[in-house]
Amino acid sequence: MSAHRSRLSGTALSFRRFAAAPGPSILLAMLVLVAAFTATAVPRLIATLHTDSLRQQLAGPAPAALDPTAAFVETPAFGDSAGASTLPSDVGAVWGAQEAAALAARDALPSPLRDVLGAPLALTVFDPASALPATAAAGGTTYSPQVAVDPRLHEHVELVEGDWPAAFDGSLPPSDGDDPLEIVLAAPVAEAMAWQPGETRMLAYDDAPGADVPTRLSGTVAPLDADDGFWSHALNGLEPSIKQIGNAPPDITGLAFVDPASWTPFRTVERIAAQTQVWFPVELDEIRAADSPELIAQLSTFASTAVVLGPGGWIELDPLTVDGVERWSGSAAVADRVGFTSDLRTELETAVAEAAAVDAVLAALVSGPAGVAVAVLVLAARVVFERRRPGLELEAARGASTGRLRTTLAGEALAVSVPAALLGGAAGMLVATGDAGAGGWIVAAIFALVPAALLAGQAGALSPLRRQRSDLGAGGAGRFRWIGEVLVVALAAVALGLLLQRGLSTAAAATGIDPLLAAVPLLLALAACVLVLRLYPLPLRSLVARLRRSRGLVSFVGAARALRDPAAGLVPVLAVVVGVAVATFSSVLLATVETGTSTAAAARIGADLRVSGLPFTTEQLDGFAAVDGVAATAPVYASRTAPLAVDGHKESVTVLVVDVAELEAVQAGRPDALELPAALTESGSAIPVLASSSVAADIAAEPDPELDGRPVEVVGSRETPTPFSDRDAWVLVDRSQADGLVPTLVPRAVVVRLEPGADPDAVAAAVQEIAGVDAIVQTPGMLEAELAERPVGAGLAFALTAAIVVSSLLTALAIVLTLIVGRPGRAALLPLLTTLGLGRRGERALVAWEIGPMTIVAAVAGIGVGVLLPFAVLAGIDLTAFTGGDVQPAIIVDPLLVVAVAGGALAVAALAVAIAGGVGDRQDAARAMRKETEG
Amino acid sequence: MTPVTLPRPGAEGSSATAAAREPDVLCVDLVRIFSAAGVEVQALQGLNLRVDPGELVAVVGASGSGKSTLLTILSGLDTPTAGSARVAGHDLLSMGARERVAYRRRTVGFVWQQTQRNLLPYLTAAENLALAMEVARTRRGAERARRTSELLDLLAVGDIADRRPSELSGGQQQRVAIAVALANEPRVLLADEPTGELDEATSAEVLEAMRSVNEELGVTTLIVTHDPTVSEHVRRTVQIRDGRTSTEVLRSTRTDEHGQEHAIAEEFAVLDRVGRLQLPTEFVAALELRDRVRLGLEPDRIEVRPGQDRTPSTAAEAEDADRSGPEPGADSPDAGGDGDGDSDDATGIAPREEDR
Repeated sequence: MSAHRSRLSGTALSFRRFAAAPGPSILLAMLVLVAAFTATAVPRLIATLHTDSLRQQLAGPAPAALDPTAAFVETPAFGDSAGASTLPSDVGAVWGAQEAAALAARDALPSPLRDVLGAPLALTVFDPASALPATAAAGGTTYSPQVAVDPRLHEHVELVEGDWPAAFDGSLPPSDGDDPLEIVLAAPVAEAMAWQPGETRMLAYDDAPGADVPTRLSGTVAPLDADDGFWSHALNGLEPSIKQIGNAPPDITGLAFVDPASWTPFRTVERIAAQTQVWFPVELDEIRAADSPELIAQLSTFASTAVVLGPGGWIELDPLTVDGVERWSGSAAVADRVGFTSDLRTELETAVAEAAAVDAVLAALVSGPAGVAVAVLVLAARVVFERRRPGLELEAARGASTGRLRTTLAGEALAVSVPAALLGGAAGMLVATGDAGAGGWIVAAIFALVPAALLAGQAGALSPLRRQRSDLGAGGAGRFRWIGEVLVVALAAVALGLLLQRGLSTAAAATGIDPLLAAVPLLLALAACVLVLRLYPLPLRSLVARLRRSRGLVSFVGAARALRDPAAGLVPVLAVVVGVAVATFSSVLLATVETGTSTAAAARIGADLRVSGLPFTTEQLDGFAAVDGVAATAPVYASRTAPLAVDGHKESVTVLVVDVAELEAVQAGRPDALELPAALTESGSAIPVLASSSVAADIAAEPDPELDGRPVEVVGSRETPTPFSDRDAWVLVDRSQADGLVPTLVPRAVVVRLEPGADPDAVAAAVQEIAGVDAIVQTPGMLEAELAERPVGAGLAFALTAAIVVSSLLTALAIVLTLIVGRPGRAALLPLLTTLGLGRRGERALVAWEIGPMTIVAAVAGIGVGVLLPFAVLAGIDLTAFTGGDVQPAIIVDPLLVVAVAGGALAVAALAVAIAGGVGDRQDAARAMRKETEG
Repeated sequence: MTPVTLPRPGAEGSSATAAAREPDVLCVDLVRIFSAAGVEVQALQGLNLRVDPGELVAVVGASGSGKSTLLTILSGLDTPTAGSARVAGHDLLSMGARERVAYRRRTVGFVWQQTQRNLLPYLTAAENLALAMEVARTRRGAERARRTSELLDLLAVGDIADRRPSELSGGQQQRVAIAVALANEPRVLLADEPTGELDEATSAEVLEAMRSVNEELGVTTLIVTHDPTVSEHVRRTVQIRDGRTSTEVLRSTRTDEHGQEHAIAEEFAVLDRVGRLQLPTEFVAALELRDRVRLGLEPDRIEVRPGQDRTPSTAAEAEDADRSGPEPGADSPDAGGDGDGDSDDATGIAPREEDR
């Protein structure tokens, strides 16, 4: 007996009330915390996922393809920028005007496009000139440097050897005594051209004979950042391009950078064709997936807008005088309006479509658990309410007004839920970095306020006189229940019908979350709940009738209670149905995507292994076949484009040449094998071809189809693309029939069949060694891993796993809370049964009976919903975004996984029973009895 | 003919002064019907009760007689179906929500049988008192503390103010409950089986505490119980049967010629406003009264005789029975007026005399 210190103030009394049974309130706080955390973290995680996925998408093409670029052959506008550019003053005096105009154009763009474009860059590249060393022998390698002007040369390269090119102020052609034009080359280019720093060569242009320019290599340079997007615009700037046509000697090309400030004297005499690019480097890190739709629209507008980069008009060029004879005179157009083009828009559109698929799947996944989370919150609020009930009813009897009771309840709820929501929301912000706006906070705020509203709303139910049962959903006014149930089922049916009728929708690049898609899973689950609540008494009734005759007390009482005084209202049933449905749906989706990815990877390889990317020699081909573990090889002997004359116009078609026998050997038994008709090898008047379905359709309408001038006959067609070509339009020809269609047979791709049991990775390594480092060796397994590692793939796997875990936890929580809510009823029964000889095990059994029948029926319904859901929902979601394949994967219901999910649900329920049984009934019968009489 | 008046036993003071003041509790033809799932239960069937200010009354009845229903109505937790019930100026039938709150706060205090319904387990005795004042918004700060210790001292539980209910004995719990009920100076104190869970000695202690509170604070007190021994501690005991007040026992002390103090209890039948009364079951059985009776007005009493024609043999027995004892119904109206002064053999149904 310990004395306590009495505190008589109102605040102290409120605190005492809270401290008396803080458990339910803390549980409520935890729920709000987790909900707020999820509300702020998930949208940000999704935004991050989309952005990662978008960046990956944008990392594919070269920066030059993405940067909005204006390319023109007119002479760029020259002049000072009037301080608008950041160029050094000597360069700015020449290139400033153009840069200032481009800057102004960018600044005129709307945000967010303006924010993702960097400061403009420019590069002018002249046509190649010949620069042979004085000692060069005729018929040897030719060197063709292209004079290039990069206003920001010093920001892109550093000197390796020698000096920067000196300013050139001579005339062209230079008079005697003039200094030669000085250039720098990237070290590999200089090496390829065998040009030593300090060496002077004559730069000769074919179309300006006699105007040869003595040119000295002042130094060699190396890029400051070889990965800079600049270099994708400056083709051949870093590495020489070596061209070899037929038996002619190779020609080596590379950019020769001159001093950018010396442009004026150079260009006024220039009569060599030059192309100038002005572009805005896209800053990929600034692009957020959320801005994509807006960016697409702005890019579209930008692409169709002419930008003024120069004053236009013409400038007179100095006449070219060779040996006193005027050989050339004329004028050059000056740039004025240019258009900027970019592939960024298409890439963004692809990414948006993919993001829409991700959103659709996530929406379908999230709505169910969100519904259960709300339901569990309602249950938790009820537990808080029931815990506070006796005290508040006493207060009511002593004259506490309903307003005071309401304030008390709402105050307690707010006191715990507001800090919890703030904490959870802030944690969510910390965990995820993506920017997803304030939407998450609004949801968090709702979660913070709902418990208070629920509790305040129940204040009216506080009766100092009598307790009324108010099980959610159960009982109720019969008529309203019927109306509600019919409404739910009808809504679910209508939504499902709409969804099925609509078909595949996300491929159409819809943005945002599709409410219909999101609603269907929850509606279906609710409809299943209605059925469960209506149907589960039926088997139970017969069970009760049978148990009445049996000897077991517990099972009869338990079954009868479950039937006549069901603790389970709508909320726990919903939790179990949705929990199991989400878990099942997730497992089906996981299996579908995994199998789909695997199928897609296999279909894209078309064999156990593929090596491609380079022309292979006969020795290499023999080498592949000789590798340990290789059963068969089939080279694709040629792959070229040929015109197909159809309906008066020509279509370009990819012609693939294979050896039918070899390919059949390699693909034998594969589900994605090409069906190769025997007719392919039969000679006739026309070349027999296997055509893709699009080509076959075109040819079918043509009486005398001709491929590259030769008659062809379609002996078979195939729907899907082949692993040998990315294009839809292709024909496949046997090697024996390909004479004349293709000039030479140089295999650039070989598909390989492995021996059973051979290690693909080991074979791949051996093949790689033979093929060389530049060849691409792929197995389906490698491709599958690659596909699965993409942000969408990894994100989906994470989301599905998280959905399974979260819904299992919510289900467990719902069951525990249901048992806690049902405890008073059990507490009333247990002492009675204990006096009749009920043991501890019997008590447990009674707890199990309380939720057992409901859980089993709800779990079965949940599995049903979970298995049906993919067929309903996935019809509307383009899963190829996840599989990387070309066709929507077939839905795979893995019975093992479904059984595992069902087992998991039952294990969760059993655990919940163990917890509730352990927590609730740890008291001896005498105490329980006494408590009962007091209650 | 003796005028038939309201059964208003003057336990103390004269009927004239009692009539001048409005009674603190006045129930006239009170009816309460519970209907659930098509079954109607008449808990109160026209109950009449009058309790004057400062009176201490026990209402006794068997289980299901309607006494608890009466108390929940009087404490403002339940509303009667018909009739009229007034407590300290509040009409319990027409009382609005606001008035009901004020009524619960300041007009009535109650003590129930279960501690759980009186005291919050997580608050100390003093805090339970403070909560009552907090709810009613009556006293704050030092005033609240003063009132708390005052009341606890009055109930002789001042030393355990800082203990929680679970650390108190049953008697202490009920005394704290009484203190809590009195926290807001109610005009009427209602108690429902306050001694139901206590042993005999402790019961007596708690009842004595209530009597002393009644005497010291002058609070009108109504104790409802099924325990007939409670009536030994109060002056007036009203018996409820089948939702109606049936009989009353008035108790007084008399000092006899030897200086010995005697407690005298007299039992009366209750006559309602329109002249109805309940005949005790044993009387009815003894005379085989049923369906109809014959009434006869005598100068000082009313006779009730069997209404049916009797066979001679039974008539004779009935005659004997008729003579053997006084008819209670006839006596009680008289007793209502001057019960205090009547002698034992004149009016009591079952007069008892015990030493106190």
